[in-house]
Amino acid sequence: MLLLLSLMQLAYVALLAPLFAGILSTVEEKLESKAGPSIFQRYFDLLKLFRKESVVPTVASPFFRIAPYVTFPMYLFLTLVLPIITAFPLTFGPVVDFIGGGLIFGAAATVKKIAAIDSRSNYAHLGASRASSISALSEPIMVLIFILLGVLSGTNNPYVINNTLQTSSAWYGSLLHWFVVGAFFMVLLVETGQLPIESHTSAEFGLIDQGIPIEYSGTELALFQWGGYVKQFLLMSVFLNVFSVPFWVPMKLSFPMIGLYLSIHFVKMLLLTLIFALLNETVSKYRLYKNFDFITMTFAFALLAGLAFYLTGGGI
Amino acid sequence: MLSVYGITGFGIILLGLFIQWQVYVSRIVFTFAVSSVVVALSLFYQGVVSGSAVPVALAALTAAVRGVLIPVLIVRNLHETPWRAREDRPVIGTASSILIALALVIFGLWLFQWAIDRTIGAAGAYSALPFAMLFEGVFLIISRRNAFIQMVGYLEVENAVLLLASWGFPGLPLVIEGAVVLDLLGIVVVAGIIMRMREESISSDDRAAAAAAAEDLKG
Repeated sequence: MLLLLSLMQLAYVALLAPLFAGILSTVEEKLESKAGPSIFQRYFDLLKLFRKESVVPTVASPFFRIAPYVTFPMYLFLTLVLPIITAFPLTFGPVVDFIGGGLIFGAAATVKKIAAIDSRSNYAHLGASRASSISALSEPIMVLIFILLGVLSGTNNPYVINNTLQTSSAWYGSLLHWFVVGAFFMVLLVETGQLPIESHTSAEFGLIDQGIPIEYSGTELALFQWGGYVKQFLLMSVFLNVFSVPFWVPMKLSFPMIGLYLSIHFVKMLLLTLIFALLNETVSKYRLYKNFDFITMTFAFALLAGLAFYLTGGGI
Repeated sequence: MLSVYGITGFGIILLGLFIQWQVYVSRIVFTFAVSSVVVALSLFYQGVVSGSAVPVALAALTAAVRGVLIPVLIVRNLHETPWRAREDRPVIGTASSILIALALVIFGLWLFQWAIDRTIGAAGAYSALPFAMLFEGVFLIISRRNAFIQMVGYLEVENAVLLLASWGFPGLPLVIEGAVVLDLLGIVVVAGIIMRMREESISSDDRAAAAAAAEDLKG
């Protein structure tokens, strides 16, 4: 039964991830008073890319070609271990905790960057270098956030954290929790390339995430992009299900409840996507070196969470 | 659960960090105004809970003077001196100054708990937060060159003193606390006059220097 739910969760994430990326682009265009693409455009793009032939730089090693086939399953594996449609662990749930999940995210990012460097393209190097310098600061903050959540629940297991926040209004209303929510939201903006960081532009001044796969084409590019959508979907789900709105996630095995929660989760994701679109259309893009100021504020939020915990003498 | 003292204390600390993050003076002044309103709301709450009219009166005074009047005066001054609209040469970079401010907050919390009884006043351990904010305000003055931002730093310190007095020493007479608030108004006016005089003296010097240079050119 748990295996069936695992497969259901995998299909839900893998199939819907491009849809939310499409909704985000469409809403952004609508906010700019443009017609905008269809919300299914990302599916059409992926289909087109899967049908196209792949062109590989002659100077690249075989690793360049293999990298998307390594990173995409990593993201798919993460869909099996995070609380997306249930608040109880599925078949692979006990395999990793938050730190383990973060390491898999980090490993996928490292493989991508090595492949980008292997392409010998200046733009790919630029993207990899910028992404590394930002993630070198943002990922320790992510670890700090997970440690603070560990303080809250006594573990780093996302399912236990969800259960703790669902059942304890004291922890949910604590300053520690809300500072952590603020910090994770800011990290989420960095990791998903939303403004004010905006790493998904192809303009040279802001070329970060788009620079890394610049030499990819065909099936490899499709896998790269699809993996990116899955990563965005997963991080948004973690923010919603574990950090900010942990309610209504089924804590017991019940198919009608899980079916109902699928629609609730969809609405939650839709609202967060709308918030992203609104941010992207109303906040000015930072100059590249100003991104570090943003990350410092993220650190400030995480540290204040720890101070709030300390000041109350370890209580709530 | 969320405590009003906790929300207010950490709220003003966070707003202080937001001020460190900003470059434009108008945004800094706006953030300071929000911070003052938060302080006023906290005082109002304290007055309602304790059934005393003094904190309520002080809250009204704080909201009116620091939340509205002083920010409006600063922004009006700013319109007359548009070259002061942003901090273009901070003493310390933005990211570093946020980190230093955070370190000072931690130092302030430690110093308060080490030097002063942590059960002091109604806010208990949370009284350490306005104390830590004192350091945040002083650091804002040190880290910026823009006179308006330095003034906001000074006002931030005053806000922290007011909150510390009302949380840690709730028995302080209104006349003292009111005097602190009204002093600020006087300081803003005097500082405005001094800055105006300084600008005028600089511009008159410049005019004299330009006239002398023109005379030199004539030969």
